[in-house]
Amino acid sequence: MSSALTLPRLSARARPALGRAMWRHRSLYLFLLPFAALTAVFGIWPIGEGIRVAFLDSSTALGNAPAYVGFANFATVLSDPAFVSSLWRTLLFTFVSVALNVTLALVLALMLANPLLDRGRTWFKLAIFLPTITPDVASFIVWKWMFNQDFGAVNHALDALGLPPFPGITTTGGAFATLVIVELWHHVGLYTLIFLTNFQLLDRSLDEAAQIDGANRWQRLLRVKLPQLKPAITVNTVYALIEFLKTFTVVFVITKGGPNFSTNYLSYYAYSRFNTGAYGEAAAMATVLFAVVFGMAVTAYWAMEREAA
Amino acid sequence: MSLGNFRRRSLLIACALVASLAARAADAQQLIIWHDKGDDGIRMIQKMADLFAKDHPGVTVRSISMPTDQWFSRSVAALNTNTAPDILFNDGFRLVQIQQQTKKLSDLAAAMKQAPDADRAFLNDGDMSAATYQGQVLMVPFQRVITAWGARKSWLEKAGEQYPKTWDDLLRVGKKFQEMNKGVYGVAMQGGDPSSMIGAGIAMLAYGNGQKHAVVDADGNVIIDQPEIAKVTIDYLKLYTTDKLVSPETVNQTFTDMYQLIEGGRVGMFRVGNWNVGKWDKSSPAGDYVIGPFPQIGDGTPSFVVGSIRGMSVPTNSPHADVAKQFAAFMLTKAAQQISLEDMGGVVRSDLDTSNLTPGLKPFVAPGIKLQVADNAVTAFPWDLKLEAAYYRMLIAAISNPPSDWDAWMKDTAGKLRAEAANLKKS
Repeated sequence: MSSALTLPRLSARARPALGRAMWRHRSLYLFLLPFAALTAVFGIWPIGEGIRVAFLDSSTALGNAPAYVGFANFATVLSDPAFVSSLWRTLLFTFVSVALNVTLALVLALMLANPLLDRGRTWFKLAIFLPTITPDVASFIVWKWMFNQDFGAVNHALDALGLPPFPGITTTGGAFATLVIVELWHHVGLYTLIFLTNFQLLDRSLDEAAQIDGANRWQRLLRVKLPQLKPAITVNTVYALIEFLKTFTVVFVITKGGPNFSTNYLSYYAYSRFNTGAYGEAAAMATVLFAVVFGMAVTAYWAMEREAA
Repeated sequence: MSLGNFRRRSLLIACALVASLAARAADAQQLIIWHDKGDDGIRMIQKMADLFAKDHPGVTVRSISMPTDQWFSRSVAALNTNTAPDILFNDGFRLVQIQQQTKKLSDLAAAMKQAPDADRAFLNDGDMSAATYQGQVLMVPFQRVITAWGARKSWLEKAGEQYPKTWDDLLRVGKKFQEMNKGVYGVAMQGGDPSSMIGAGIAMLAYGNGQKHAVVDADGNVIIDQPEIAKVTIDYLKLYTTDKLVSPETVNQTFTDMYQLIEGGRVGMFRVGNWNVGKWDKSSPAGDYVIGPFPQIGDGTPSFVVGSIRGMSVPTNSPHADVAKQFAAFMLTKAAQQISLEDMGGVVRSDLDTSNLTPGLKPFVAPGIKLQVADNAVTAFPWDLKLEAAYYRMLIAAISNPPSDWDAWMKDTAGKLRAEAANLKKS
């Protein structure tokens, strides 16, 4: 029995254009409705609740009679030098990580898609993708040990090669580099896989035509392949932006925001404020972060799509 | 007996039984206590509860230990949502932070007055000052947390050295330890956050040398450039830089990481608290350490340090507030204090039997030891935590890029910190 038979028909004149379209595909909307409801309950409601807490006095936020304080928590947070410093550090870490991850993933995908790699392709793919599916906390603890100044494998290896030791997480620069390296190891496999998938869809005839017209490899890469990879570049860049702006676990496990608050990125800072009972301020920080992530992701997506068009 | 009589008698017995059970259920109360003191704390509270139950039939106690950060966030959330436990047991400064966040801890002044004078007589001004916040007695103080300095006994013997009495001794012994064993460090410190580096580092050394304050004085004035404090601070920082007696990882380490170094046998000298001894009597360093007052720096007076006072607080929304207050006041009785001494090392009374204490614990209760009480700057000044965070940044920067002239750095840093304090006081 079709749904058209079960639902009463309304006159076409009574329905606006959008309503008409929805009515025409009502079966589809009916099937989607439960999932939309679940998304609203478990996706949008917590976000809304988090934003609401940002407007509450911390000591009453969890009680029966919460006191609204307007934008006071936002004013406190934005006038906090530690928050401003944390925001800038988060942005720096994000830009460096996005650039490195997307570039390296593209290079790896180009190498893995090269027809000359006729043996071991699967093994290389597996080796690059494996860190992505490795449980992050466990692997970050191992990385922390590897960079340890007292017994870490990294400095033992550097010493054996006659190279100067790497400071690991004992200096601000070292801690930044450590997190960039660990996050690169953890994420680059996924971005590489997305590029590889896009490679499968490339129009080979364009490359062959360019080759016949005398274009060298570099020109074919820049003028023929890269423009066709824009969908993957867009997806990877936007996804990486979202991922790195929200960086938390690696900081929680490896540096705890140190040394000297140098890796106290926004998510971790909000978490630590939350842990001390400053719910309003922590939620205000999370709301600012949400706005930054949303704004940057939409802007990046829009800019790339516009360029592609 | 006729069947009717039998039925009537059975009914009466059943009614009496139900009434008795109902009365007992009405008396039965279970106090829930949240703390972060691990198995030692659980064992101590259980013994105290058994004792308390003799005079309070039907009252049982269940104590739950959790990691400190979890204890803090759970306590704040529970007090704010009227799901509070009956009692919070922790260090005074943490209970003050709970009060700052919730304003839901009871004033225990009246409950303390009900305790016998003989029990309260042992509390000194320092204990009551740590227990009082904004005119309210927030906790019944019953444990003084005392910290001493310790050195590995077998390592000292191997190095042909005695317990380090002065800072020069400490530097010499520390270097010998590092030369004797590859991969070990002379000294254990923690520097991963402001309270680790300042409270458990510089301030501990300052108090351990008889100073009353380490960062600000009783009026809230910055005093880090006073000669005695400046010397302690510079000597502490040199452990990281020129002396290289601490692990480079120290700048990221909190007490958990530091304990891993101590218990893993990778440091020769470390701070020892009376709360550590219970565990360290049984497992590594398993008695292989000798303790004493902090090494003398300059003209300081080597001392043991009363780092904090622990006590029990009762939330205003405790389900059994009256009994909870009685249990908290019970902590001051001689019997409860004896249990506290034997299981956790910390007490406020001085009339207890110390004959059965382990060798590790005896020095903490030895008569005549010089005790220096830490100040309560964190509780006295609402801006103190932010000031410490600012100071911490300056200290870490100095460790990363050691100045060529430490005295000039100290003067400059004091100026900056005074400006920061002025700003914080204004805001």
